[in-house]
Amino acid sequence: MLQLDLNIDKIRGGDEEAFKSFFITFYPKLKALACRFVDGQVADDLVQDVFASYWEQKTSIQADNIQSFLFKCLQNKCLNFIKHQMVEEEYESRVRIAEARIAYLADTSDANHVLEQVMNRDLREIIEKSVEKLPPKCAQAFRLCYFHDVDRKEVAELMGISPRTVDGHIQQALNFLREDLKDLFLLVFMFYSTF
Amino acid sequence: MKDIDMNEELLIRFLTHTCSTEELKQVDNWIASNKANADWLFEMERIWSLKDELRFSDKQEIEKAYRQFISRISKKTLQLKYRTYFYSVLKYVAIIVVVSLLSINLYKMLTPQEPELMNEICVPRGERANVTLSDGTKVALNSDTKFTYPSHFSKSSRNVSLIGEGYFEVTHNPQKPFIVNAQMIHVKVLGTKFNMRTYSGENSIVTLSEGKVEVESSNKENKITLHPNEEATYSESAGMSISKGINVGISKSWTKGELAFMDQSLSIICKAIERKFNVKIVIADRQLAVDVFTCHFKESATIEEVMTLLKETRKLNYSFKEGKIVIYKSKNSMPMEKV
Repeated sequence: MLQLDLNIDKIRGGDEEAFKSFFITFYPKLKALACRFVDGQVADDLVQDVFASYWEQKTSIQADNIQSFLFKCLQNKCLNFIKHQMVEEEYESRVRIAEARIAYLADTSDANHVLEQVMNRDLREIIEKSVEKLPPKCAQAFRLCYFHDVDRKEVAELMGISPRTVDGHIQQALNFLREDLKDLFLLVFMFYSTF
Repeated sequence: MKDIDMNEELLIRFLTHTCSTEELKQVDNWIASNKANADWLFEMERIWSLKDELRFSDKQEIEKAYRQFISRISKKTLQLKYRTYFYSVLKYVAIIVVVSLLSINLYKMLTPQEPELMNEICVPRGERANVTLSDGTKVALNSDTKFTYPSHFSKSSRNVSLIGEGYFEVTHNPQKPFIVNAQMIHVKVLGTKFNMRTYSGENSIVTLSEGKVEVESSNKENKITLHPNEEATYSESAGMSISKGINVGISKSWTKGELAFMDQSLSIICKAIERKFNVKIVIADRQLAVDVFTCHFKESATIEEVMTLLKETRKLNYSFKEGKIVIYKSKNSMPMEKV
């Protein structure tokens, strides 16, 4: 956290190196967040927009508000984008799902960003450890889908099982990760709040 | 908690953004019915999105995004620098004026060169504009367009930037190439007439009517030379493509306030109508949005006339709803009599 604060002062002064490390820290998180709402290409544009608004307002944003500024700004842009899309048949459901998502994120974000900072480096390792605890078939299907981005139908072919079974494995894996990582989420949060 | 509505297949489809309209509605209802459902789904989504976060942590990917960002803000910063330079020059001039009271010769010797000041024109929806630049180049600007140009061009080149649509008649000057910078592409010319459309979120399109132009993508991966009646289309995903035998009159019909389209998708046509009449249009049918139409509206056509004419194709119908125009598929798909 201290390190981050220091950089923010430099960014305010227009230091490009400091801004670059700031960009590197937040880009993956912001783009992953945008991808929950919209498709990749659009996500890219919106994330760029958010960084641009930050750059323009860098001197007026308080250091401790930066995370929430970035995330809220991005959420709003995503929601607006969805609202302005022209295909109406799925308009209402998409907007409502996006709004529900934002409400969920608002509930959990406090615990979340502390966690995100801590986990950035070891994220893959931590997930990998949890996946190892799964039954072999389930772990295999999940790894292919999750880490290697193989389409579920191809996973089914590769493993000689039905796509439906693949879906089952993935859901089982996600349910397990959710439980398994929950302790960790909680641990990290408690660790931080005692300081 | 999890009931009949949500199964593995639907969950995976939701996470991978491959839900049908019907399925999206199902998901929406399911999470709206119970907060625990919503929490469960978004927790799953959070774990799923860690995968994206890992992927986007890739160094090369971040580098690429960062370069894109820098090239985007550098134009703005440049403008700011000019401005501060301008003020420091003003101070300098003030001192010189005082000194010049004592020595007019000294004043004459030290007068600094005028800095390159940028002008910006923003054309709102529903409007058009024409501008003549310092070199005699004429530019027509379409609705919803931002155009930036210097009051005086530098010695070596003529640089301007465009977001939106413009028709350029560039004064010939082989010593000073004229360069139009847009978000996705750059166009370099010596002296020609061409139309350029670069609305954000749409394909970038350059149509040439006279002379020769060079079109290059901002990432420098694609570069082509256009000849008269050729058109370059660029998108980041599909790259650069070229079409020949283009009717340039259609591409620049907007400069006369007309709307003309040949084999264009309804969604593109509607975007142009939205800009021209400053209205909001929603196409309620996915298939209809990609159907192609050929049509031509006179300058005097009102929005009602435009919609009526589109309706006469018998492919679609429309209604005004909450300040928006909603277009949906025509129910009685009778055979076409005339268009």
